[in-house]
Amino acid sequence: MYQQLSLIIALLISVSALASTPTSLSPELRKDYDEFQKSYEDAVTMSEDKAKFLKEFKGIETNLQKKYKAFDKKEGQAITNEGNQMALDIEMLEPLKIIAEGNASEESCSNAKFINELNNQSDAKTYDKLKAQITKLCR
Amino acid sequence: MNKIKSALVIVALFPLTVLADSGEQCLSGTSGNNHLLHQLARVKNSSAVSRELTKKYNLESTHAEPPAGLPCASCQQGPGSNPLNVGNHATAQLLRQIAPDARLLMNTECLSAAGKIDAPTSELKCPEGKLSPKHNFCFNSNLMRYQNAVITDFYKCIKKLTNLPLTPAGLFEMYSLESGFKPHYTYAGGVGIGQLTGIFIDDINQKHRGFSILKKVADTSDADCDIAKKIAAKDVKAPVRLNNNRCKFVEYGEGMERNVLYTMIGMANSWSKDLEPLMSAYIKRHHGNPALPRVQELALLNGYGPGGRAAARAAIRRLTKLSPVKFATTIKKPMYGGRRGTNLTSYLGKMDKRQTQLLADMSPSLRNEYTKQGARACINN
Repeated sequence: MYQQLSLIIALLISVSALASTPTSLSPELRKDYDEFQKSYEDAVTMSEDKAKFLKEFKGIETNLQKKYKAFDKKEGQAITNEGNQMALDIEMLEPLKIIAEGNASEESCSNAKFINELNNQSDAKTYDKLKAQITKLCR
Repeated sequence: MNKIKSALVIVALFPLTVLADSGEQCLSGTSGNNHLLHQLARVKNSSAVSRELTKKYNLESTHAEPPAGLPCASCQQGPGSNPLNVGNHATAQLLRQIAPDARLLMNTECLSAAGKIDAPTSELKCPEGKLSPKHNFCFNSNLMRYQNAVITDFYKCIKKLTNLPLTPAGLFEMYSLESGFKPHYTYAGGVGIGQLTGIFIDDINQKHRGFSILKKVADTSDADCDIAKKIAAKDVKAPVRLNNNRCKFVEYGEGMERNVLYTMIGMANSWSKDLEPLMSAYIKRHHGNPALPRVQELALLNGYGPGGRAAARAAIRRLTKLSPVKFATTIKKPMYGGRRGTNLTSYLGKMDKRQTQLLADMSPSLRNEYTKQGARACINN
């Protein structure tokens, strides 16, 4: 009786784990996603050199947008967790885009800070990273 | 003959008026704990905003006059019968017991169901600003009727001045979830009826963001905004922020009313600055699709929730590849991210859950209507 109960519990745990496992991506989409994530990390940590940031950020951001669009197209009508993450990552980058487009002017810095605050609840970790980035770029 | 009819109705309904004046049951809170009721009674004389709302929507229980120049909607008996004398205010009050609040946006029974929900949150006592989970102020249908009037009036104004894709049914869903229409529910994450946050209010005060809408309300000569503009005109001159000023978004007179106005201005701001630009091509492409208005509303409501601006925009980015019908069904399900598991659409699931909760407090006929047409069943024509 006890053994049967344990078996049922184990079965329930495995079923619920299976239910919460993200949709598995095809190898091609997985590769695209991993590449996107690598470029994304580069983008959110490139404020050490302001001149380099102002020169290169726009290109990196455009490239990320292209990667997301290609992924989205290959996904078709599916809505994968990885696609959701990429869409969120692109949105979180907006403050840096504002600074790059505004050449780190006072106004663009102020707008970027505010948009980052509005995005705080969406992804607190990226918000913190960007806050530090914005401070460096706008001093 | 009409006078005899009126007299008969008055005699027949006399006990009802006595009951109404002697104190209605609390929808939530403790009976006899009348802080909110006293506050509202006081500001109906002292605040121009409350005074005008009370007069315009005939909210005074004893001495109010019918709205100037307007036939009293509560006096209309419906097709096939003679309207009773316009201006016979005593009759209008009695008939309000039978056909209550016909001029107000939201159905009384639905509001009562929403008002019964007791959230495990703190309550703010104003003007002291004292926060406690133990105040247990009585919140009854008289207070709810006043709030219905504020929402009705300001909604009409904001809809005229902006392209806010929000229906009264959407507003009902949203306020039911946020506070159950309680003006005094307050905690660290949100204040008052709309559970406004500091950043949401700051956004309205930003020159390049919501300030232009606040100013539009302050400057308009549209008669539908006469009451809302009293608050907006003051706030344009001296911006009101949430820090140490929570009663300015809670207290009857201008606080609870400001909360409703800012909820709508903030949503209009979020729509025009953050969401609509991402959806404009999609809206054009699906112009005329019957599911499109609901798609826009759901995208907007998702943005109002605690998920933040980026998550709301990311959800739109994802879903605009689907048809409007699929968009509307998918946005109501969880949309998790891959790296940190953020749900881009957590608010809408909670909103649906709250609506299901309300069904238990509805009469069988209303429940039936609600099951057929959703929150639209809670809206007066």
